[in-house]
Amino acid sequence: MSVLSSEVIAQIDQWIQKYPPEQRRSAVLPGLLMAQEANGGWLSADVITAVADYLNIPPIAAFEVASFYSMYELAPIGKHKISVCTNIACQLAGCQTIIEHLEQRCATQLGATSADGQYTLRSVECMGACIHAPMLEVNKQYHENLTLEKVDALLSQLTNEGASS
Amino acid sequence: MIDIEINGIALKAPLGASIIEVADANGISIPRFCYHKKLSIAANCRMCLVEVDKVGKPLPACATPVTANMKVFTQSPKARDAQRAVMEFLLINHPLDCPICDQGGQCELQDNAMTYGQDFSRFDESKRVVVDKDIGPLIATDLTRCIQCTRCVRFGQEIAGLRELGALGRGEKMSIGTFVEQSLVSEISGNIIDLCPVGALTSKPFRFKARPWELNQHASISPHDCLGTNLYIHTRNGDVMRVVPRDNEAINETWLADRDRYSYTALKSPDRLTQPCIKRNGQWQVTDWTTALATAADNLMAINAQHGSDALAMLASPISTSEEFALFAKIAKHLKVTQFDHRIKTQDQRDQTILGHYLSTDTTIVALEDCQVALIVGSHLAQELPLALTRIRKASLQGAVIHALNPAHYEFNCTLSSNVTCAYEQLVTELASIVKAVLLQRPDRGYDALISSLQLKELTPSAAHLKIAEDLLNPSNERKIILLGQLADHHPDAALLRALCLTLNTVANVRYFFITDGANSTGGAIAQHLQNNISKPYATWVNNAVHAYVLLNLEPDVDCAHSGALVKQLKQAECVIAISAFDSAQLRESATILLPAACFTETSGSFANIEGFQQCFAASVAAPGDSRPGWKILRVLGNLLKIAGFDYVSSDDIAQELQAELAQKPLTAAVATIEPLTALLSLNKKCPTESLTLFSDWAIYRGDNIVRRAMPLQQALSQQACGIYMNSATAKQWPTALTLSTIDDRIADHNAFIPAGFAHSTELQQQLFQSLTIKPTHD
Repeated sequence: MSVLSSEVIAQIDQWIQKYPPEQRRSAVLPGLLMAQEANGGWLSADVITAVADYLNIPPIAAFEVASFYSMYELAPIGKHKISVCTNIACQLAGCQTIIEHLEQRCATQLGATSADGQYTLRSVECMGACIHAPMLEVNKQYHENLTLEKVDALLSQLTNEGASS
Repeated sequence: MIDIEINGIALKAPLGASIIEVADANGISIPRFCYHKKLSIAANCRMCLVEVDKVGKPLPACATPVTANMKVFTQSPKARDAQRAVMEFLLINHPLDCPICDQGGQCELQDNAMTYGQDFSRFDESKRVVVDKDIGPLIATDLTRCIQCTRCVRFGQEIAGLRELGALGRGEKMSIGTFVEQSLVSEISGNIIDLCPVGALTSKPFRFKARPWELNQHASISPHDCLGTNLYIHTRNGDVMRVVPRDNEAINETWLADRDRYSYTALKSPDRLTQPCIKRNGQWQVTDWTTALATAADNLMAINAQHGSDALAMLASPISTSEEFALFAKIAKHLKVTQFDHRIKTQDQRDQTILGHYLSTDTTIVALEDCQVALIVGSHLAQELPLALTRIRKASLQGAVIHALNPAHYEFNCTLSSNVTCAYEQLVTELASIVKAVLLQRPDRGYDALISSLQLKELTPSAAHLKIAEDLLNPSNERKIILLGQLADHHPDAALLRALCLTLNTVANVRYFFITDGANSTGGAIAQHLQNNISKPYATWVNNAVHAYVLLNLEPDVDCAHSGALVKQLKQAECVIAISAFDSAQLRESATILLPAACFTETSGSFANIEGFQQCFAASVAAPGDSRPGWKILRVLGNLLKIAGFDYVSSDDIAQELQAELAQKPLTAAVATIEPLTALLSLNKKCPTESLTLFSDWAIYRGDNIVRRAMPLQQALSQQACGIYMNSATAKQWPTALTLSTIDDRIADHNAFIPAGFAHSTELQQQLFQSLTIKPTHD
């Protein structure tokens, strides 16, 4: 049983085809993302090694990439990863209040995962939605023009989704 | 060549060279951290910024190629400003802990800070701290001091071909580290200590032992492999403190294998033999040199008179110096001893009667990196000659075709066209099939007779053999080399393997490179050659009952092929004189007289490398206790044996005499005379599936009595402990009750591998065959 499922391999193969054959390693960014998604949102050493082996690069080269970008998680994370922009526009629009509210509601700190394993709070740089600052991203969905009420509504929605699924 | 100007000095420079290369070639100093002449350009430290006329911003000298009429200023206000600013940035996060840093006094950052830095800091904020990683017993890390030049990362990727270190994280949080916390496995990892411009990577055994300004530097030569690596011994108050590389482009470039870098740690081993000892009535007694040598000489003369010269045998380790070999051979000649050899690890020298003694290569070490085709046979090259592999790797990166043929799927850290794994006993037939494929593709030359006389008739070359032959015969490939490794050299059919190589040499102009043991197998061959080849190969007489032995620099139980048989004979002998730097319980069981010898760094002499190139060295430190240089011991022994003309005052006297003799009768490359060689060929047609074949070879840090006692190297070796290695299918077919079995799927089918050089290696080989529940059909 290989670490990477056949679905993930197929996805990586699609990306490999987009590059010249001798530049197989170019698929390392999407490759790690696919593998991360299939692995519950984080990259274990085994998964990184498997991606590196598949792309014929040294494991340390894949690990360099994984450690460089903030979208890769190197430890298990909560069910919902909430990425709050803390760049200048969101700062000016009051993201600090949003963060404090999130920390209180999710019972965790920015950069950490809640004890019940539901939420991971991340501070991220600009995601290009400054016009509707402050904003956050969760489950690939942007939530903009945030207010405390909107955050509450979002959290209840996430909790309900968790209960119904 | 184009004209450029640096600091107003008109210079000629090759087109395409970088500013820093031109400046270095002309002795103009430009500060740098990330640039290194042997590594790729990273241009990430920015320390080498210089001003270029008509260019607005300062440019990095390492990454800027020179152009015609370029005017460069390395010391202009603009350049100095840029350099000072970069220096200030580099020092922001540097701990400035020079007083407790091992690099202090030999630090590029410290040196450049003296010239380009300021004597105050504007940085009041807290500095970053990086957690140190444990990367093994050889290299200490202090990553807070790292300035992220990435030389160590590039070394692994480009030179070693084994990328173990990487730059992790980003921005201010970037740090150097390994993927999972692990020891570096590269055989040349220690070079990153020299490459590191700061104290982030330092030598673990040398750590906190000495300051560079307290050290004296002595040029020397490594005793461990046949390249003859140039090195510097650093000493303080008569103690060797460390070993560092000495540049020699023709041999080791700027690199040093870990084996050569750390073997000095054995010099202070508690095993050092420091007093002459004699065994009387089964009891060891310490004695003085006069008594010990007189007893030794009397014993030799008495046994020679009573039983004749066939009752004597003399064995020398291939790490002995040429001067020791010369005196050893002269003593052997005087006593008419024919049982005399240095090829103690080999089993087959049948070709000696045809070829005599010859140089082990007809090409050069440098040629390894220029070759277009290389065929590596019976060699774990990364462990045998780590620095030869870096040359092969360079050839590979330039597009050379590399093939390997081995009894295990060894890694070569470079791209191979084929890496054929065959059973150990099939090495000869595999190589013969390649030779036949070559002959078949050369119908123009009429090799039909050769094909039948070589007994190649029954062989059918496979597609892989034909591909290798095709590469060897491709007219666009002019520079072709076949390397025979130590697995081949120690093979029971080594003479056949060499004969086949020499056939390729004649038929297809393939140069040969026969890797030999120790630093001075060539010196041993020269000594025998000058004594007219009177000696018989070791393997032919090891089982003979002999009354007296002289052993030079070796431990019979772990240094020799057929060590079980040898030790048995030694125990029955009347007199065994062991000249050795190290003591051991096994040696005391076998020997009757122990003469303490000086070790590597303690004796003067010379080593002849694989090319036959003699390199002299002086003693760097005095030998401990009463031990004496081997040549002095042999000289006095010669005097006591009343050999005429044995009045050498220094090792130089012997070296001069040796050179004069060698000028009269030089050792030349093997002249392949195929017809006599074919007489040797009786190919092994044994069906491998019916038997289990055991093969053995010395583990990387077990090859001589010095490395075996270098503790840091032994710790690094721990992954390859003594045991029985088989692939999973073979282990299933040949179940053994021995717990030391390890599954290693690199090993060929029906083969078992036991590393030699360990105390239990020989015993384990016997135990393996006794423990097999199914008995092999042979042996």
